[in-house]
Parts: sequence; C-alpha cells; structure tokens
Amino acid sequence: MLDTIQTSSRGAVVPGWTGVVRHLHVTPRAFLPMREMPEIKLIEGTGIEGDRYMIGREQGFYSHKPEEGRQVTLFEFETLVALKRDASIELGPEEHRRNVTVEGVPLTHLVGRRFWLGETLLEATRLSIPCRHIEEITGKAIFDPLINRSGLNCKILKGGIVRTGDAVWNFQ
Amino acid sequence: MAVPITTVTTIVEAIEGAGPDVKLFSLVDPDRWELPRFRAGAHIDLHLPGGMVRTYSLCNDPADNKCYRVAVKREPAGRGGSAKLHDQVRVGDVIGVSLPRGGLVLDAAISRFIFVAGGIGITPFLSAAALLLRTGRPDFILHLLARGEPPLPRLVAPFVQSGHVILHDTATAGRPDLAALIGLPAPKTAIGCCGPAGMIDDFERASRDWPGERVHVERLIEQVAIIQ
Repeated sequence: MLDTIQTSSRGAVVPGWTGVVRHLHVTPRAFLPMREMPEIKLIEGTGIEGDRYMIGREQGFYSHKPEEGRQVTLFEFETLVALKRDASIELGPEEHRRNVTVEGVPLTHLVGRRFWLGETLLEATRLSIPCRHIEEITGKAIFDPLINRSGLNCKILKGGIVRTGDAVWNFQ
Repeated sequence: MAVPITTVTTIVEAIEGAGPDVKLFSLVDPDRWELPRFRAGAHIDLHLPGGMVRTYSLCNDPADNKCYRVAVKREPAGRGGSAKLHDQVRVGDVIGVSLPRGGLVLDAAISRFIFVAGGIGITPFLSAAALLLRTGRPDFILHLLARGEPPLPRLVAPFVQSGHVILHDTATAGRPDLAALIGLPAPKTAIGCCGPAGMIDDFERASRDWPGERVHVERLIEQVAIIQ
C-alpha cells in the first residue's frame, strides 16, 4: 500500500510503504515448474534452501553467470493484475519464476536499498530483466509486457524463515 | 565456471519391454519434482550419449506431470538412436531432454475424434486417449494398423476392451481403406494420423475434403516425428 511519500537523504522520492508476502516459490533445477511453498528458508549470503540459484547449487538457467543478487528474487503481485487488465494475459505467481510475490512493495524504488522480508533482511542489487527463457517455458508472450516490471534481485543480509503473509517494510 | 544448462535433467526410472522390438522408457526428475507441462502427444528431444539427439512423442497423460514416457521401436537400419536407447541406456542413466513442444490440440469445440495410427505411431494418440477419457470426452476411436502383434500391448489393451481402439492386422488383411475409416467430413469432428510416410500419403489423400484445422498429421521418419 503506498500510503505516504517521503524524501530520502539522497534526494530521491521514496514512497513510505508496507507490503505483504503473497506467494513463495522455489524449484531445484532449470526449466522445472516452480512449486508453491508455505515457507522458505533464506540463508545469509547464499540463497534459498533447495532453490536452483542457491550458491553452491548452481542448477539455474543463469547459474553460469554468477550473481550475488540472485540469492532471492521478488515480483510484484500488482504486475500480475496489470498483465490481466492491460494485456489480457493470465500469468500465475508460479509462472514468473521469481521466488517471492509481494503486494504493496514498490520494487522499482528499492535498488540499492535494504528492506525486511519477514524476519530476513535483504539488499536489492538490481531490477530483474525479462527474458525469452520465461516465454519458452510458459508459452506466453510476456517479454514485452514485463519490461521494467520483471522483479527485483536481492542478496540476503540476514537469513531466516519467510512465510506467506509476512510483512515487508523499509529497513530505515 | 558452470556451463549453461540447456536441457531438462531426467533420469531413466524404468525400462520395460512393450511389444515387438519396442521399449518403454520412463524419465523422471532426479528428485521426482514436477516436469515441465506438455500437451497430449507432445514431442521431446532426447540428448543421448555421444551428442546424438532424437525426437519422440510422449505417450502418457499430460496430467502425469512427474514423468515423461516415450516408446522406442528398435530400427536396425535406422540412424542409431533407437539402437543406442535399446542397447546402451540403463535404468538410472541421466538423459537431458528438451522442453516438450507441439502435440495435439484437443479443442473443446470438437466432440468426436478419429485417429489412425501405424504401428509405433500410436504413441501421441495414447496420450490423447488418456486425456480425453480423464476429462469426460469418451467419443473417440483409434484405428491401430500393425503388422502382427501391435506395439505397447499393455497400454493398448484397456482401450481395446473399452472399444476405443480397433486393431487392424495388416499382415493378414492388408491395409484398410483409410477413407472408409475416417468417413466424410462431419461437424465437430477432428481426425489425426501418425505413421510411416506411405500411410500418411494415403491419409492425406483420404482427408483432402476435411478442413485443415481439423486434421492432425505426424509423419514418422525413424521415429522422428515431423509436425505438419
């Protein structure tokens, strides 16, 4: 929920917000369907237990291009709503292939910032980029509609258990 | 550095004899995770040892989302893919496969299906038959043309018993008239054929009055199905 507007010390406009975890997904290997989980275990500096991008596992489609910020990825629930509303594309939370679907969290504002995801602390490293790989897997033409809203890559500063329904909020 | 992952990793869970010169391979994820979804009768590429890649139709129900099942007929005069699978691949081996592609479009607007299969060409239609029965659409018939004992007898038997599969032994009776099997174009009816080139040619002649969108054809070339 975007409830207030604040100005950060860096001069950028940063919305004040609190959000919620709507869905959690992992998959152990590239190409395999994401499986919905009631909770996931985030391991500091490493990734999500059992997920393909956990450091040391390297079973993801992009694992040959190592990246610290791929430890956990987030996606906006609002984008799923927008895809249906604006492009008549039904995309389920298990199809976008990010790990955490959140609602009320302005992901595009968070690059370089820290925020709480339940009891875990994340640092956003960059916006995710849509890829043809998702189109190949889903069979849906979602590359263009996902430009600039394809999620957020993060590294895990403090691990813990994340459950659906957990709150998401700014670190500061 | 890790190398790019370009295939779905599967292991061979089971290999069973399935009729004359035919083996049925069940491929699963190493952790029995769900596999990528597939349409009835979709195709996957098997990446075999030695860099050989061969394409086969899936013959199980798409609802069976933890297994890819392919039936492979050994072709002694083929290009070596079927021989490698029959003679070298063992239970527990790791095989990379492509994402499934193609398959039969079992449009909800179609209420009756007539399929014609030549020998091992029955595989995509077994997948379709399982789906149709499971989803309460039992109005289909599958004519299986085979020389002598048909392939996949264990999988075919229940459909023979239910009257959905009609066996045509071409060793004793010759090839039946395909035009008579599919009949004239009828509303809400779709037809399909998978088999060797000569049979497909006959089928295409027999079906030329049918609307193209209601005709599905797959041509077997040493079990490499070419989608048309």
